[in-house]
Amino acid sequence: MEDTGQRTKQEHHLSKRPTLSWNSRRGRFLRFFLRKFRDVAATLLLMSLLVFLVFYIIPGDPITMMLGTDARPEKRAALEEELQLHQPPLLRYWHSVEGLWNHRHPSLSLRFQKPVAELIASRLGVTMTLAILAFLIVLILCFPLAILASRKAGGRLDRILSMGTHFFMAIPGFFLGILLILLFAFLLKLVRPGYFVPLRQGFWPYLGSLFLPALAVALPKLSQAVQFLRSSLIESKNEDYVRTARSKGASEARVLFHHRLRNSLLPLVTTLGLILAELMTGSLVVEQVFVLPGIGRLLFTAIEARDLPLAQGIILTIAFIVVMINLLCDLISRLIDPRLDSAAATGGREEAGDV
Amino acid sequence: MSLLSVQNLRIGFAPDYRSILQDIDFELDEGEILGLCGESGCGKSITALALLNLLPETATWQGQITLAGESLEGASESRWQALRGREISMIFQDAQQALNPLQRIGVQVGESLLIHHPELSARERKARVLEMLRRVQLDSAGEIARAFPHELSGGQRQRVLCAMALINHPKILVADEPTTALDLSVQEKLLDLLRSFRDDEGLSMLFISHDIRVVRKFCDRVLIYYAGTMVEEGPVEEVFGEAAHPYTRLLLQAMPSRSPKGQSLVEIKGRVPASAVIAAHHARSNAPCIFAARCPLATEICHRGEPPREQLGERHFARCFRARELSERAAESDCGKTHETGEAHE
Repeated sequence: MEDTGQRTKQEHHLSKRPTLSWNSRRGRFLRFFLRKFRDVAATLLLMSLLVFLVFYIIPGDPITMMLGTDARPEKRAALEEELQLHQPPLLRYWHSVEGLWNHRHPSLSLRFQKPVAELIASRLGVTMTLAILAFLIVLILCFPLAILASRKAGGRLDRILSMGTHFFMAIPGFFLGILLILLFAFLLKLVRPGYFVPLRQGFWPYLGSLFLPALAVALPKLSQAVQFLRSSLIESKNEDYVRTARSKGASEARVLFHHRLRNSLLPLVTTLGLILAELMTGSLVVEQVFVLPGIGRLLFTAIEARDLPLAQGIILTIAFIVVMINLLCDLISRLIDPRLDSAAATGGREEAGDV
Repeated sequence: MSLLSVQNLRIGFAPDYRSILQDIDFELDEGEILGLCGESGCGKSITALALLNLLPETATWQGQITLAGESLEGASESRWQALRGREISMIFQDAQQALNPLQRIGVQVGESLLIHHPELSARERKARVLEMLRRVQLDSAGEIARAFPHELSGGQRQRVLCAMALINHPKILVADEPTTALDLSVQEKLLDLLRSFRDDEGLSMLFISHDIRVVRKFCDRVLIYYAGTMVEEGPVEEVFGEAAHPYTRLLLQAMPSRSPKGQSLVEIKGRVPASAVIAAHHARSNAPCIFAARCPLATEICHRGEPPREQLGERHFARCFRARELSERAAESDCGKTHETGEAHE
């Protein structure tokens, strides 16, 4: 009872100044952004603390990793001094985070003795190109395939596609990579295996050398997206608003493109966002199979060498990318679905009521 | 000649397509409001959907549907698309679900125009949409056109559905329980609105409702459905005044206002048989009356064979062995008010 009373009072208050209030369309959007910004900051802070904590807890330390277990104590002390590991933990934590963008005192990788930002920048390009290429494959192919499969649920085409998607989802990534190399490199002789062309040797050769690995990462994700979109398209056939559209005399094509597809897109956005985030974080296995200098392998090296600054840098970068992709998904969802806009407003109002 | 005539309509569902709805014959005249009554699960909604060839993929219909002299048996899907929304339209019970949540009202109302009058410019279309929204008494039509379905009230949404269905001035409107989800005062207004379309444009309606009071007030003639078949049909005063089929009488008695105060409501014992049972029943040759199992007035003969279609008035029919006897008795006893209650407890 009290809650409703409060809400009506607030609504009354808000209705007095509709344009300036938090509840105007622009105000709701601004509030959405502030809330998201808060979430992003909290996520990154928590993430960096966690990385630090984990490195503190896991057995093994960088000195032992570099010098071995039977190194003399003086040598260990000297290296510790050199790597500045004698500093108090909180300071080391702070430096591992702040040093990422501090140019005068950059955070140095213990293993490579180079600024972390530089190391990440040199590797991120490959991973991002790979991810974007794979994502494009997913995006371009998932709509026609899902539409074809959903045309007749249980039909022959649907069964074939469903078999294919199950196959690609079940097969392990490295095995698929090897199969693709076998097919494209040895049987069709289209590409040279294990052959990576850096960007400075030309854009197209670079892209060409990444195509096969992109396909290897994309196929399982594509299968996932196709299955998802297929089932929501099939479900949408029985929606009331679809029947309404038909009752207006809309053709099947019109019903599909103006009504069913757009509504099925809504849940797909979240799935596609997850897929993109997974692709961006790099695939250690595929990078290993195709010998690519990507971020996945770098992270693996960093963890192996107990290289806190480097691992911190990579993980924060990845976390930042993932959080940004999530934000983008939220934005797109809000653009597609007007209901989210007002739902967020109600949620915000309730929050205000609590305080 | 009637505007819409339905003969021998039967509807079956996958996998065996045995008919769960059969022997449906009725006609709809120009400017007539025909009610369709019955409990849930009697086949009212699928009759409506069949009239627009909008049955779910798992169902098929057979029979003759004739719209303005054109037989639609075996008509192509593109022919149906040309008819839907232009000659025959439909409005639905759940207006919230029936509107696309992601499109603005103006776009959805305009879509009917866009489909059937692609020659209109965007501006003309918008003008007509606004005009139509005003016609269904949505004030501030401009605001409504820009709104999304979730921003409107239930009554407003139902009006939007009406605007959408009627913007091309169809001859027939099939209304599937349009007032059920609305509260009483809003119900009244919607009915007035629909009636005004009948009076102004000669719109014919098939009005589906399980609310007998609404049907009695609103409709000219009524069909009573039970378990996938028509048990009684006729002008509203005759069917409700001299109800000839025991099922119709029970429906009337189950209305809250008809029971004296302090007495518990009359309820119809048992329930509508499941669709599989109905299909099995229809499949038998010379099947007995399907209502006999629940009928308080059933005699031995009712369980033996198919009840005849008795003609009781010029347009009043009932499918019951005792129809003539019952309707006479009802007419004698002052439109059946005093006797009925006693009989139901026999």
